[in-house]
Amino acid sequence: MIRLNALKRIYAWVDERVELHDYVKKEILDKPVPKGLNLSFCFGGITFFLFLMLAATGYFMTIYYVPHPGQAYGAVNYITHEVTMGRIVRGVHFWSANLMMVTIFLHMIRVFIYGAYKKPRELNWITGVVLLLLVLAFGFTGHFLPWDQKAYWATRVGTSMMATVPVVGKYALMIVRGGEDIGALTLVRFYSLHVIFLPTITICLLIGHFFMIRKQGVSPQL
Amino acid sequence: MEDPSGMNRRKFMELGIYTISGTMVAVSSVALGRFAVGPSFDKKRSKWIEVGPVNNPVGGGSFEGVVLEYEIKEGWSNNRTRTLVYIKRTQGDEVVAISAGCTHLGCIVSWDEQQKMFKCPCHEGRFDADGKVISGPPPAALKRHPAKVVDGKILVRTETEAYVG
Repeated sequence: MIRLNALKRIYAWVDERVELHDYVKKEILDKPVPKGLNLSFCFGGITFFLFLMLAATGYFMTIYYVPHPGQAYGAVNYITHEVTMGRIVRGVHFWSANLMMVTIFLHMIRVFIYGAYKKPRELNWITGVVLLLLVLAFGFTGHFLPWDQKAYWATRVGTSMMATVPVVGKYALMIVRGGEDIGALTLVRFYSLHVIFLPTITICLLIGHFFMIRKQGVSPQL
Repeated sequence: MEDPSGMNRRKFMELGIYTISGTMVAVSSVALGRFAVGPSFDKKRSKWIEVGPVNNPVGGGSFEGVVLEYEIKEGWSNNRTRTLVYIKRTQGDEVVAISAGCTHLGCIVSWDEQQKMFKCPCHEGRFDADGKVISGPPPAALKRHPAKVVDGKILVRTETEAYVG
């Protein structure tokens, strides 16, 4: 009981200085749901929930993963079959990534049907499309990391498509692969993109995405 | 509307949301925490390695240097390791296996049959036939590997232990 009071006092002490309690209560916890919504308005939130699951499991998998051609496959194998809870952590990462593609498109279809991309919400639609592209990039880079046959050949084929772009394609391909062929440099590149660059950009855009929906409100009914 | 316990529909919903999300966070924290700990507390595994037939006669004073060559599995990584061990058959099936790593800075000691002592080439460390320090900077006796004779063959364990006695 005393301990609970101590916690409450620490909370009160912090809140006296940052003054967030009332704001969070009013704007988030006690914020009334706009009229006329139905379950289809949940898909964006579900996508974000999956993003959180991917972040949590992804953070922890970096404890064991090594982006090295001689060791990546063994490390992923080790995560899946030997580390306690490894199968679940990697499984949640895998299934969240797959489900995210589904929920993201359901979210997009809902926004399209309700015409929520129209003025003044065009910018939110644009950030949403960029976020979709980022998720595709996440999927493409993440699929390569287990360094198995499927990863190797899918990425070989996937990246080689870049060469078909006129004039710059060949150079873009070499930049993405870090050379002419897929190898050690490609693996570190993809790893770096997957765990550092893409998450950072995604989080920035998500903040904008959420800020705009609060500012502009959910689009009214048809 | 007001229940005597102070509970209303709004408070109930709020409590429900906190309970559900709290359970989710707690369960994932336990799973991820266990995942992060991983094999940290696993016992170090050691194995018996056959170092060949018993050559020395019982009680023969000479030490014979043998190399233990084995794989250490560290998570996903397998590393080949070599360790030099001096073995001597004392009596019957008893074998002494002394690690060649000097306890000072890890140089490899050599057995001097004339003076009956282990000599470290780096800083003049001297050990007797039991591995105990005679002179020089080494802070402790040479470590020992558990060793035994099975069916006329000498087996040495990869782990070492401090010499007691």
